[in-house]
Parts: sequence; C-alpha cells; structure tokens
Amino acid sequence: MNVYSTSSDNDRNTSITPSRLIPPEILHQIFSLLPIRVIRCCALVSRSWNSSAIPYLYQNIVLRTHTQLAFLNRTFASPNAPHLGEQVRSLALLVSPPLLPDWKSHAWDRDREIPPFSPHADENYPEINTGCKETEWLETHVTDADLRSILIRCPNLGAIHLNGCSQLTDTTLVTLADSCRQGVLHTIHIALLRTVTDPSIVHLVQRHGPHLRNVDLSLCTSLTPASVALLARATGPRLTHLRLNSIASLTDDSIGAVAEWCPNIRLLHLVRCWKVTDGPMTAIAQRCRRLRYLSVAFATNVTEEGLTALVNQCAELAWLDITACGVRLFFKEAVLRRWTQVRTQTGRGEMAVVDRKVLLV
Amino acid sequence: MSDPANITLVTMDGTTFTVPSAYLHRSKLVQDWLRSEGDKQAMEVKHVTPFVLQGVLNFCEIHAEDTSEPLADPADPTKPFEADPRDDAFRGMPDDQLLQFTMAADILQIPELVRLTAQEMASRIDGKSPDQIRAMFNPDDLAEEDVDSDNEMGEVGEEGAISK
Repeated sequence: MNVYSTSSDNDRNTSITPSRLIPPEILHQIFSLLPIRVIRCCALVSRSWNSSAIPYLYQNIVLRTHTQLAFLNRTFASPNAPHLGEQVRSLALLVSPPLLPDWKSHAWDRDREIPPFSPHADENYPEINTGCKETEWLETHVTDADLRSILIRCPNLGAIHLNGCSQLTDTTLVTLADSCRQGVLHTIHIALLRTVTDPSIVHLVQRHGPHLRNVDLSLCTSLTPASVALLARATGPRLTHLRLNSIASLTDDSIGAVAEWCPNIRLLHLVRCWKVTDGPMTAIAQRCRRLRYLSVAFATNVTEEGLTALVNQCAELAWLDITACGVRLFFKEAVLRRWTQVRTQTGRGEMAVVDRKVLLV
Repeated sequence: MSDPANITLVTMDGTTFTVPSAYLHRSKLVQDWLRSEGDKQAMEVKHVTPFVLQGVLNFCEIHAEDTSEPLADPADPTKPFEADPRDDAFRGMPDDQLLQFTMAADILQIPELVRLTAQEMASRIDGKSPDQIRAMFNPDDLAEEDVDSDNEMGEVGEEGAISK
C-alpha cells in the first residue's frame, strides 16, 4: 500500500523525508569520484558516511614504514574493526620515503602516492635497489608474524607487493595462499624472498594458479626450474607479467614452458638468467605476440639471433633491455641499426633499446 | 512491445507529467517499465517531488538528441568527465536541491545525470572539513549518537600511522 502525503506548494522544494540522509548508493557514486584525501574527511561526517567511506579508505593499502605496518596490525586487531580486513583489495610494502629529499623532488605526500597496481603506475618497474637506505625497513623489520596477522584477515586480497622483504619465508606464502579466497588473488610480487622454496610455490599455484596474472619471483634464488615451469603451466593464458630475475638455475626448459603455455605474456624480465639461450627466445617470438617489455640484461647466452627473431615478430615490443647480454660486441651496432630498419619498414611503433654501460671495477 | 509516443509520469503528490518517450531512453527504470507486462497508463515515480522531476525532465529534454554511448557505470572514475555548458543550471543550484536531483537520478537510473550530479557534489565536498560537510548535507538531524566516537574509526585512514 502506498501512503502519499499531500504537500503544499511552499515546501515542494524542500526534501520529502524529514532527515536528509544520503542513501549509501549515492554516497558510493560520490566517493568513487573523490580522491582518498577527501574521503578521509568524509569518514568523519557521520556514522552512515563513515560506514560508506571505510571501504574506500582500506581498499588499497600502501605502507612505507614499519610504524605504519605496526599501526595497521593494531587497527585490525582492535575490537572496533572486526571486518576491516575484508575491504582490503591490495597491499603494498614499499621503500620508505626519501630520507633526504633533493631539490627537485617534493616532500613526500601520501595523497600523491600511486599504489604499484594502479593503472597509472609503471608496470615496467625496475629491480629494487637494495643498496639504498630506504629499503632497510623491508629487509630487516618485516617478519612473518607481522604479515600473518594482516593476511589472515584479508580474504579478498587481490594484489600483494612484498618486494624486498627478505626476512619473509615460506610461512607467509602459505598463509597468503590459504587466507585469500580462490579466484581473487591475481598479483603477487615477492622479489628477494630468498628462502622461499618450491613446495610453497606449488601450494600457491595449486590454489590460485589459474587466476594469477602478474608474478614477480626475482631473486627467489631457492626456487628450481621445475616450479617456474609448473607456474607457467598452471597460469596459462592469464599470465601477462612475469619477472624471474636472478633465478640463475633457470634453464631453457622453464622459459620454453612460459612460451608454450603463456601466449598473452606482456612483460618478461630475465635479468641474469645466464643459462637461458636463444632457443626459448625464438619460441617466445613465435608464440607470445603480445610481448611489450623484455629484459635479458646479463643473460650472457642470449644472442642477436634470438633477439632478432623477437624484434621481427613481436609487433608490440616497445622496450628491450640488452645490457651486457650475449649480443656480440662486434655486431652490435649493425644489429641495432637493422632492428630500427625493420621496425620502420614494417610500420611498427618505436622500440626503446636499453644498453647501459657496465663498469667492471 | 511497441514504444508509446508519450510517457506519463506521476509523482508522489499526484502531479502528472507527459513527455515524449524519446526523452527517457536513457532511464533504465523507465525502459524496464516499458518492457514489463501490464498496464501502461502512467508510471508512478514515488519519492520524487514535482519540482525535482521537472528539472530531471529538463535535463532529459536537453540530452534527448545526444547520440553518445550510454554510460555503463556512472561510478567509474577512469572515464573522464566533460562539463557540458547546457547543464550549467545543475551546477548552480543549492546543496539540498542538488542532493535531491542526485537521488531522483538514482531512482530513475539515468547514468548521465547521476554522473553529472555526483561530480558536482564531489567537487563541492572537495576541500571541505567534516564540519563544513555536515553543515552542507545534514544541517538539522545529526542525532547525538551519530557524532560520538566516529573519530576512532575514521582517523585510522589508509596509512593510519600518520593520521595520529
């Protein structure tokens, strides 16, 4: 039954209901257009605003100091916030803000922070530089216990960035694999987790394999080629970004598996994978036509033959790092000229070839 | 189902508006109603006052000829928003009216109008303190228990350590 109230002319302009409560779906419309800095203010307006704003505040968490990590732990553990963890979609532990900002950089501003998974962030990010002071908190302070209490509360976590947290072990990886709901986790960056071994990767792949899109296993030096091949096989066409820097034991077979099972790969970093040769490069050239970023820096057995096949066949290739790889010095200039020629003749886009000077002191 | 030439809308107090159906081709609610079975005499739009509905129909009239792709999700922030000079009337109105238009747009499910009004609300909220926002939208009915301990939850924020 509909009960209509009769309204007189002079209060037509004012609201119908006595309270001007904004419905949650409209708050959702508004908040989705606002930057996080404003939503933080909105959360303080009223209880209903707060409950609408909280999901936005906790969606993408970026931590840059151990104090922040400890604070997040305390927040999650407090009885006021039993379900906050369910809002978390991505978690990133990044290097701390520059201790001494130079004249050209801004003072650090958390509102200008770009989480590493956002579309505006650099998908072709460089390797973590462990030589600088800013990575220290990741390497020395972040422990399995810190992350466990966070991960068990975040079943909807889709992306996690733990590059550089070298204290973390298999325990974290197993907790991550068990606590995330299946089908949600798609991005996992665990560069420099040197002690991570095959069984935990196998466990992760068994649970989340078909959904993983973006994997960074750089410097996980305890891994064997078998687990990389398994990963490639389980993820299949979903996988677009793969970094395997410095897993020196990798052989042609494991990269061959990537070429065979992952036709949609877009980024492949193989820095210092010195056992890899031209064989898998030609396989990639034939099968992975969407490749855009490739690094074979210091992969001394990858030569101009394999790379020429790639340059000829991968139309989208836009960035190629050949620093100190196997391209023979004698041919280098001619090869590079030939590549540019091929690209212009076939009307393909510009390709940036990175060839840094290596100084052996 | 054949499209009628005109659609009659009835607001909560019984005021009727009859408009060409082409005006409302962007409203998902009206389209669903047209597709549904039953009596097509007049569509009841409850919770909308005549004044607001008039404004919404003005918007529909202005944009009836638009051929742009319908907006799939008005809450998608990746789609850039272009201010249309024809919509300036919506941008100039007082806060509480704007809020009612947003709600009406949400009820009638017109994504373009939702986006326009939500964008305008967002730009008005931007840069305001919580107290100022409260004054804008909840001037009279902020119950006691609404204010008490919100700070505990809100202050934590995204990187809580700094907020304290």
